[in-house]
Amino acid sequence: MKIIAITACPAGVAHTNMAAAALENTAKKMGLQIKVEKQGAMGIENSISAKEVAEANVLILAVDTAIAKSDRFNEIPTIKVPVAEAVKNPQELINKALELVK
Amino acid sequence: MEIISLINEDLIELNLEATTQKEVISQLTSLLGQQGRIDSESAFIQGVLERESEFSTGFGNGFAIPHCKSDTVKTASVIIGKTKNGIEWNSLDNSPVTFIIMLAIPAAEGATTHLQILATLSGKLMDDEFRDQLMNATQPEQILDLLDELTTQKTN
Repeated sequence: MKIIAITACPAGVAHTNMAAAALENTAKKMGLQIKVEKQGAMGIENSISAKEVAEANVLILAVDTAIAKSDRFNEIPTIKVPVAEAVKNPQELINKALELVK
Repeated sequence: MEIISLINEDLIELNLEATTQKEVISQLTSLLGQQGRIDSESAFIQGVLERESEFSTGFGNGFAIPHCKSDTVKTASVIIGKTKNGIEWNSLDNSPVTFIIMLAIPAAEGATTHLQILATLSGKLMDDEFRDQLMNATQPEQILDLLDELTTQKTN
């Protein structure tokens, strides 16, 4: 199971990075692979590659703003939530994403 | 000590008497004003409250990260406050807030070291142990040391 995720928030500093850390820490605890791309005040960080898109099973969008290059993901099952959801309950969010592709 | 351009002992107040969210934000903002890090305290406060009205920055366990990205911010800054009273913050977990990490982000700043540090700090707040260390600090120096370790780790 390979998860990809994007986090983004209006100021692009606080919640973008909190959500990314929450998803990464939780996935690690759950023994899952995740790649989290941050679209914030510093542009796109930890960018998801074309290969990673091709191999991904599911996409989590934890975003409060419009994201760049969203057409990369047209074919991937996607769960979209406000960025705070990833901060508040990352495990529940990851479980919902897994449900999508069960 | 890279962190020192963002925060210093006078931007840390561990005995805030405030009882409301607005008082906390205005008291911490006045510390910024005293150091000339923002042009307008009222514009900054308004920006922070607008952000809060979109969505609470109380992210649980008694912590909040109010912030404002605005051209009234002249110098990227972190201001830290700890309150004696639990403050109603409409937090994600509904718990009152006692530890506040406020970020002042210049509107014009691009991919800078300063922003990178603020970003690293935000991510680190998801670490239970780091939050406990912040919450248990009794002296501003201890907070500065914790933040300094963060930037040192990052550059290694």
